Amino acid sequence: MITGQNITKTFKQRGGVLAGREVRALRGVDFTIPKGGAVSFIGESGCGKTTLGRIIAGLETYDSGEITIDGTPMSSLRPRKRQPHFRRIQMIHQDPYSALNPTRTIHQTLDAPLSLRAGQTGRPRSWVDERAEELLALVGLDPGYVLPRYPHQLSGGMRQRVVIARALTVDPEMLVADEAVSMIDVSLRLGILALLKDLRERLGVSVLFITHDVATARYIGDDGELYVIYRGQVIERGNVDTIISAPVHPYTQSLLSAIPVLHGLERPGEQPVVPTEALNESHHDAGCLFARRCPFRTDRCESEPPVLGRDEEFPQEHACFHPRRRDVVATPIERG
Amino acid sequence: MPTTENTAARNAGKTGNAGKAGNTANVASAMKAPGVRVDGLTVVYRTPAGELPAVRGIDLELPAGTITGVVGESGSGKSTLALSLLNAVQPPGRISAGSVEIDGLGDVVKLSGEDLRKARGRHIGYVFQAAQNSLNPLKTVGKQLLDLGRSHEIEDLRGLVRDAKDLLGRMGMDGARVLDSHQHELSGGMRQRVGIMLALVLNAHLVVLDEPTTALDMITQANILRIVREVHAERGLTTLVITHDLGVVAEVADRLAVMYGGRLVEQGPTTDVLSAPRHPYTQGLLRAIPRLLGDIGEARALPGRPPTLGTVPARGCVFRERCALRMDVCETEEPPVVVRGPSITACHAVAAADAGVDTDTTAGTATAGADAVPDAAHPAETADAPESAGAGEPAGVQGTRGEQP
Repeated sequence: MITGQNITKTFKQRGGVLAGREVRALRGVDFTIPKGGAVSFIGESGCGKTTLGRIIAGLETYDSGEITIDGTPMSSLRPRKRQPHFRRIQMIHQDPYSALNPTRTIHQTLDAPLSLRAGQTGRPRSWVDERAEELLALVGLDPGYVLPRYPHQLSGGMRQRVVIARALTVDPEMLVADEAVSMIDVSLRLGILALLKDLRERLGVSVLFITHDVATARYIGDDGELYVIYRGQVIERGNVDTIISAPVHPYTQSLLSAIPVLHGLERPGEQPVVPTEALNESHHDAGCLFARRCPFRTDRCESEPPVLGRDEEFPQEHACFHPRRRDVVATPIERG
Repeated sequence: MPTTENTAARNAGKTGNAGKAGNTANVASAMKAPGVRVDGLTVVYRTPAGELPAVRGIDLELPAGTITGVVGESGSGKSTLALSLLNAVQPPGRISAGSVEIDGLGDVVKLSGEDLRKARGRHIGYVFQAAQNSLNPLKTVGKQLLDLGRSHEIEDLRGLVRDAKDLLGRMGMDGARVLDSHQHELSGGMRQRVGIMLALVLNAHLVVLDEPTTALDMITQANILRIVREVHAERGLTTLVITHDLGVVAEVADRLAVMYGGRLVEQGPTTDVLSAPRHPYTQGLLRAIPRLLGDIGEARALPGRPPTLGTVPARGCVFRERCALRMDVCETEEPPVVVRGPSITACHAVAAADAGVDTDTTAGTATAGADAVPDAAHPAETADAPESAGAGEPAGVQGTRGEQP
């Protein structure tokens, strides 16, 4: 289990025109990723979801807060001692084209980490090849076809599967998939999503799924938790299907309202929420961060910051003074 | 006609059109949007394996004043098709057959040199994928606008700037500020709006948008799509939207054309195609899209993978490798074009189904299959099926198939 308390991160612009400008990427985020669980972060670009994913994968430092992996607070360890913990969290990037070394065959790509591991654990050389084939089969590839090939000879979907197989070479506890299907052809996306779900079920690997496409988050598992992130804050959190079918925060509602409707197959929601667009980013940090764009704001929203929490009325947690269910999501048209 | 006057007035450098800019939208909508007829268009690319078609035998009509959406996966030839409308296919590619007739302009394929250069921008506006890559990072938007004006020999540059500001204002931006900005000072959504402004400011009435919302956030995407719809209606345009995202097409387009392997496999009114897709590829694609509500179990990936230039079969149906309704005839014969009302489908199985159950099992299988595709596509359900199916045809990857006579 991996938990985080009150994680904050501020980026400072060093040189250039914007020197000295600060970007508050994360403003005190709490999270819990249970063993074998599925957690999705959704939000627009720049909301901090990728930064948080990188912090969890140990690829980025944080300014304050605490990350605990299986009960061990990371702040209690020296950097070198943290490494083995973070190694068990593997990242899958958006672009499978740049994630693989183009000059290495898939065999070479998998051989390196497996050989290292064989050396550490005293396994024989033959184990390396067996394991490589096993992993490729596990991610739905034909080892005989894939192993001797270079990345450019494979399709995007196949490459992403190789990336996942490589992540599995270190027997990770968690996969962090950052927009892992957004560059995959539409007809193949579900295959990758189904694979991640399958790995959860078969290997007990937990999956942290980071995306701007809310719909894909459902396909990692219906027990998944959804975190909706806006300007470095979690503003709504709960079961993925609960939030999609009955969101209460106006920002979540705006995101869901913006998803194109397949007219002819679906009927648009009746109460779409359209925020005013953040064309010129006025950096007001008092009160609710979404207030300036929110069609339902009151004076209170402008001055007092709402805190993420649960109330009697709704099953999910939210950070809004005026939570209300609205019918924003398109519904499939029943066909006779 | 009045708009041509407006442009003409600018060219002549007349100053008496002060109040005109504000009217542009009204005046423009009075002008007729051009109809476009693409006929038998084939575009080939020269490769070590010979000239291979990226787009083959496309017949597509863009009725005047409509928005048509072309949807396809990577390698389907959709961007090549879009470039063909400007006769802008770059070597090693070339248009090897067919014509693109645009009202008031003629066959674009036959245009060259100065005529072609002037047609682009004046008649045909093009909004590039990822506008940040089409804007010059070293010049302000305003300077680029003036470059555009000069290259089209517009003398009343003030009028041009005024029109640009009006357009930007129409799209919810502060025109003066945007014209003074460099591209890095603008957000993705703002750059895309600048792209739309540059495509329309010379009063083009045919606009091609190539992946207009890729890399934009959901809320920004929704705003851009709304703007595309509104500007289309206000200015009286004929619009073509090229995208890989069915949702984008569903939001804006009146008509939808589906491309696969360089061919148009299905086209018709958007709601018709979405509610009752006929081609097995369209059916599979619709089932493969992750949706917000509904049964997760019903969604599944298409088996196999999209063809590339080298793996597209030279004969027969381009989709047969992944098709649940595949028949022997699909290997050898071009799919027949089946017309039903305003919709057109190119598929042997659909043709057989339409022909009725008079003949043998072929038609019967097809009819049954058309209704029961979810079951037929079942092999795709397991994670391993989709790609290992594709892995079974390494010969195609080498691009040899296309060469076989």
